[in-house]
Amino acid sequence: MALLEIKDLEVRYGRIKAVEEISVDVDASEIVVLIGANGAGKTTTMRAVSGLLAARTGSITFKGEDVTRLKGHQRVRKGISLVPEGRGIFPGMTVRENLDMGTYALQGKNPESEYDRVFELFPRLKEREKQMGGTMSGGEQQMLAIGRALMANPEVLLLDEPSMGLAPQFIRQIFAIIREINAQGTTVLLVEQNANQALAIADRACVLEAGRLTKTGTGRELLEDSTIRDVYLGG
Amino acid sequence: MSSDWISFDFGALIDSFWATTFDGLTLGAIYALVALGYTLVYGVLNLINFAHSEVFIAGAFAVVFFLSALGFGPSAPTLPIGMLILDLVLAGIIAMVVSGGTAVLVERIAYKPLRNRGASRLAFLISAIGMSFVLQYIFYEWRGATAEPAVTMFRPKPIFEVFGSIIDSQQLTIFIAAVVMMVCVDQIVQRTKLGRGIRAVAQDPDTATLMGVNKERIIVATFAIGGFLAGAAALFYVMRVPSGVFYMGGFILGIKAFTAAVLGGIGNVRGALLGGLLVGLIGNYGATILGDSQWTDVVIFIVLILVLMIRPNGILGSNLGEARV
Ligand SMILES: Nc1ncnc2c1ncn2[C@@H]1O[C@H](COP(=O)(O)OP(=O)(O)OP(=O)(O)O)[C@@H](O)[C@H]1O
Ligand SMILES: [Mg+2]
Repeated sequence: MALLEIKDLEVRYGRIKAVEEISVDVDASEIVVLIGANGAGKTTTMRAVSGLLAARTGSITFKGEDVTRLKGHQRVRKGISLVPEGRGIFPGMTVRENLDMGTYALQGKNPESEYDRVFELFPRLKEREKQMGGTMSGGEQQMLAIGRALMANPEVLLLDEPSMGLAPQFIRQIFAIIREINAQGTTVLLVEQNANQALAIADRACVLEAGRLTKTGTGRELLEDSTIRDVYLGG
Repeated sequence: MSSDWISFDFGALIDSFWATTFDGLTLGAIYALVALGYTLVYGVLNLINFAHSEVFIAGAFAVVFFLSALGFGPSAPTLPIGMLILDLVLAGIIAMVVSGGTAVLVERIAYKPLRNRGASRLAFLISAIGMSFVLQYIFYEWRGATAEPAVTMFRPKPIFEVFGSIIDSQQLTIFIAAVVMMVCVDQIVQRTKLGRGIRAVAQDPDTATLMGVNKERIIVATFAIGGFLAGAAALFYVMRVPSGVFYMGGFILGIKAFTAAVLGGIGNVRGALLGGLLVGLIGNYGATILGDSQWTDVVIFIVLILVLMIRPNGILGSNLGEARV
């Protein structure tokens, strides 16, 4: 049984169908990657899995439990954390307060080990603990967003385009950190436009086109697929 | 040029400057308590809850009914001080419960259904104004247009003299109690888990949800806190203006409190305190100079407009938790 099962998911905005018939299984300790062009429905899928959007039909099962009807704030407590597109840093909170927000769902548990883990992955956050989130650079905000999601000690970490707007060497660093987080035992579902680097770290990957899944395979298979090379990997 | 419809008497203000100041601060503390309700709700929902003025006056009706039932009337009662304090504390608690309950009810009836349907901001605005009218006319149908008989809680006693002016027990009670409450709210917002939830929803509701914050609960809690403060304000209002409780009383005070919230920076907790005190002072100075309290509101609005021309987001800026003094 997969850790996270998305089955026949359909999401609409009013009458507009954004995604349909999406089925993806994410096994424990895998990295699964979703690639697709702008507007393909990647963000919609991630928001439906994390409970910010309601599924019109289909189901989302996590650790064998149907979570389709659970609200967003309840899904974090189950162990699903999303790093949203655009990072969602609380601008008027310090770095430390943003990280504290990550522990909001940990009812009564002591988050000290989470702080240690996050500061080890992102030493910069430790240096900037008192800086306002809104004044951090884009790359720093991405680190903070990932670190904050880890504070809830999730079993599956959803990342929506973490490389967006970052310089190449920063992107490499972010991908290295995602691998590191995965190596520490966190399952990862990653949405990316940077198909090359994303597929290189993917155990499995899916291609999303106009709201539907058109291809699935291992990361290597998709990297070598000629049509995907043409469309997503720049030939 | 002289005319009889308006005249300026700066001498009057100079003569009674400190007395006018102390009374302005007392009124301002009451405005500030009500302003907090506007500001907190605006912070989490980006919505001006126009019915907040009726939330306030509901508490004031509760104070009047409760104290009348205990035998309070137009002249100050002769009670042992301990009994008096007990009665007033009870009246305050009842007012807070009534106002808090009204606030939550307004949320459930006027806003939650719209939120569930993803309505536009204009729909919320209309619903807010409509709710304000509905409550006003319920009070009107129920109690008529005349004010409730006055309930006097105690006769103000001089406590000490500053700059040759008396500060009395009523002013001191209102000012200290209101400021203590506002400091408590500020600390709740800054330090508690509930406060972190409120600030998170105010800054980014979706991300707050991703952190595990139950947005609906935060919204209800925010309305309740705003209502509790309005209830406390209602007690102090009746204390200061014993015969000011009638169906439009909330509207009249609410406009000033709303102005205070905007002046300080709507959405900003400390801004509400600052704005409240400023509105109290400006209104009192204006009324003294112009010799007629009818001018109070005009002066307040002129100052508001001038401030907003220089600082469009109010004096302290308009974000809950974002501006830190
Ligand atoms: N709030 C909304 N209301 C209406 N339509 C929406 C809304 N959000 C997204 N859509 C539409 O749904 C479709 C999928 O959008 P989505 O944001 O999921 O794409 P995406 O794959 O994440 O794109 P990108 O790579 O640009 O982030 C698009 O056609 C988009 O216009
Ligand atoms: Mg997207």
